[in-house]
Amino acid sequence: MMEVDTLASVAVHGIAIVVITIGLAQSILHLIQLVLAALALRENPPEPQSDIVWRRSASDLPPVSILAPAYNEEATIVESVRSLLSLRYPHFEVLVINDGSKDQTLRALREAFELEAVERDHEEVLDHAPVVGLYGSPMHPNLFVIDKQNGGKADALNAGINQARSPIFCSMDADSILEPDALLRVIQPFLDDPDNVVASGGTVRIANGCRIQGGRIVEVGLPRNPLALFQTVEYLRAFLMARLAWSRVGVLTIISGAFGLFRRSAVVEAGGYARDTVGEDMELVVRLHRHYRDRRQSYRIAYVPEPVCWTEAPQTLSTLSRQRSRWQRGALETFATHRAMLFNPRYGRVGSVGFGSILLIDVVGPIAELTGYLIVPVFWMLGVLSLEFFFAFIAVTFAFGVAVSVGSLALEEIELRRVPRARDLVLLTLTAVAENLGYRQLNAIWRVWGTWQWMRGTTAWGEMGRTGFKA
Amino acid sequence: MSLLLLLAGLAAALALASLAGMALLIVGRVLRVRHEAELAQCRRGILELLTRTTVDNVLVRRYVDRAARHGALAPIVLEVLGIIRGSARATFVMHLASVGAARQLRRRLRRGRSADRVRAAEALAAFDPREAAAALRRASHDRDSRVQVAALRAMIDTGVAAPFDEIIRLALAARAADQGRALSLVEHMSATSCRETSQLVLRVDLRSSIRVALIAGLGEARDMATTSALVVVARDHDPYVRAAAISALGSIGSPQGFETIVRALRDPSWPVRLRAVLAVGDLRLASARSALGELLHDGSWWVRLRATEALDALGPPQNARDVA
Repeated sequence: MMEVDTLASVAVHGIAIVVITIGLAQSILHLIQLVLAALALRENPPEPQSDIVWRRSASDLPPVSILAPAYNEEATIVESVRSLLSLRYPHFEVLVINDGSKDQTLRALREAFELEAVERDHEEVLDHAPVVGLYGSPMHPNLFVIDKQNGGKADALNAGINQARSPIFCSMDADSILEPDALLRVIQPFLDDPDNVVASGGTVRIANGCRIQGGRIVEVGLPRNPLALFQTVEYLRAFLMARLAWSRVGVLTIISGAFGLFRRSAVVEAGGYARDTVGEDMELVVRLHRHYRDRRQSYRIAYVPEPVCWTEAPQTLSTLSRQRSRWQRGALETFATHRAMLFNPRYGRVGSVGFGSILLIDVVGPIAELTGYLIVPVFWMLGVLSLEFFFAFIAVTFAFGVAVSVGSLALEEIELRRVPRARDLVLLTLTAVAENLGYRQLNAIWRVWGTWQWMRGTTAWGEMGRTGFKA
Repeated sequence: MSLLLLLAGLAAALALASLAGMALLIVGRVLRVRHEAELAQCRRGILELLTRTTVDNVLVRRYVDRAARHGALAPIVLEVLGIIRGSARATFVMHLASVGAARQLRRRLRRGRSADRVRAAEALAAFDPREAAAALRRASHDRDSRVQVAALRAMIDTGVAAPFDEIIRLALAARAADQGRALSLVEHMSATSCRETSQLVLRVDLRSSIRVALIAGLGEARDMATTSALVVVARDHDPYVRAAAISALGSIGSPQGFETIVRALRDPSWPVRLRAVLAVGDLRLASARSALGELLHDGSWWVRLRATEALDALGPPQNARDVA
């Protein structure tokens, strides 16, 4: 009996040590990202004045095709397209891809922009579900609507890439809002390093709580909904810290599907968007890395912190849980598809740092964290684990979490200053502390649920139930 | 103390430090509100130079000095210069110079953050070369390549003799991440001094990307005197150089370059054929009709598409010579 007790105690201690070690490794990784992001912002502070950016680069800007896949967006699509058409950029076309919407999305577009059926020669290089019709607008010669059978976002983007006539395309969500100078800013890496840059991503911010008029953010505000508020801090951390840091060292493995620029020829060469994953944005970026590394060609995937795309965050637990478990599935699908890259010297830093961080944060992280929540407090209360173990676990889950979140917020305040008022900063600081007391734990549960779904082969996207931007 | 406790202590200290830092930033934000109001007043004061025929120089000088102290002068100047042209611009710059703005910008160009130095160089481009030349020349050797590029561009814009060698040297030395900016400068230099740079494009020892930028500048300038140099480089061994030359010939539109453009429709490299097709369409070169017809079966989709568009632009054949 004594031996069994000892064995159980050793097992519990062993598990606790593994959990704390994984948590510590994650925390150290995040702190490194914070330092790298601070360095990146210090070296290349964003130019606050859009006019100056325009004056510096207007004559060099290449044409861009904006691809906006839309599925059941009848309530917002017209406003979104109007907003896209008024972007501050000299040469661009807008290609809305109606991905077999069951509502009146196409009708709303036809009426608002007086669409007419047109013929347009295009390069059919990527596979996608059949196109039913192509429409152009006499009012806006740079607007086209592709009406196709439903095939999912990746499928719709592939259809858009085929129709795109610009060397660079912008992939986005039709229900997101781009700031007027977002294209002008996100294109900058392509101008700075035209021979190497194949993709460039911008920042996605939470629009809940902002005042929106005519498809534009006219006043930045914070959401009142606590879930959306937690996500505001979370997005700051994800974009301003993680992506900026990984972009600086050349290992960025994701450009958000809500807003990213890609060199069309590079994406076509790599085979376009994968249609069999729910994480098509991450999968494409990882595939681009793999494509160029396999061929030993130089390339760069960049992230620019200042161009902003605003998106509506889920405000209910059920919607948010579906989104998070889907993101987790997407990350795991990408990891599984490209697992050969992990720690493979052929892929350099992308294989070690980029894929290593996916392994740590997305694959083992959620399981370890949830195990810790279940084991450490219980066995501490039962007297199996000492108080030291409990403190150490709290340190890696809570204290480091606070330091990293508040650190990201500090970066935002020092370099970008997008948060409008001092009292909003106070609220966000409190949120950065509070998110570690409940929200973080919920996220761990949703991500473990996503892992379970992935293991069972679930492929559903799930309803997102957005409420739409209020004008 | 055990390792676990040390870890907990370290994490707690970090969390507390981050919160303390954030508290300081929040206090800083509260204080900055007043500071920003002050800068807004400076901006308004400087903007008054636009609307007043007589201004209180002492007051405006105070605004300029205050804005300069906080690195806000260059952004204000650039903002205004972005919206005014002609005599209004000249008067505004003259007033600014009379209250010491150029001096303040020169000072800013010497120190401060790179981004501020870049803006100062850009703003100085609007002033009299005598006010700016020496400072810009010094800044063209700045430790930061972005400042160098901005200073050299400002030198070109102010009419200070463009230091060709300096610009080419910068483009040759630029890191990959700065290549675009350096090449844009080369193109700008070429467009503003095309007769001088037209000989540079013939130098085969220069890197292809630099020659392409020089050629693009010549195309932008549309000076017919550069046609003969472009006709020569349109036979270069490098397809990127040939493609750029054909584009430039298309922009210039000199009849001296027509034969070269039409010949490029049969170039082995598809980007060259594509540029030639675009040039033929823009210039409505009916003599290229049959060659365009052949390109409807080209291996490149882009060449086929643009050939269709070019034929459409040419319209139906007008006479037998056209058809031939």
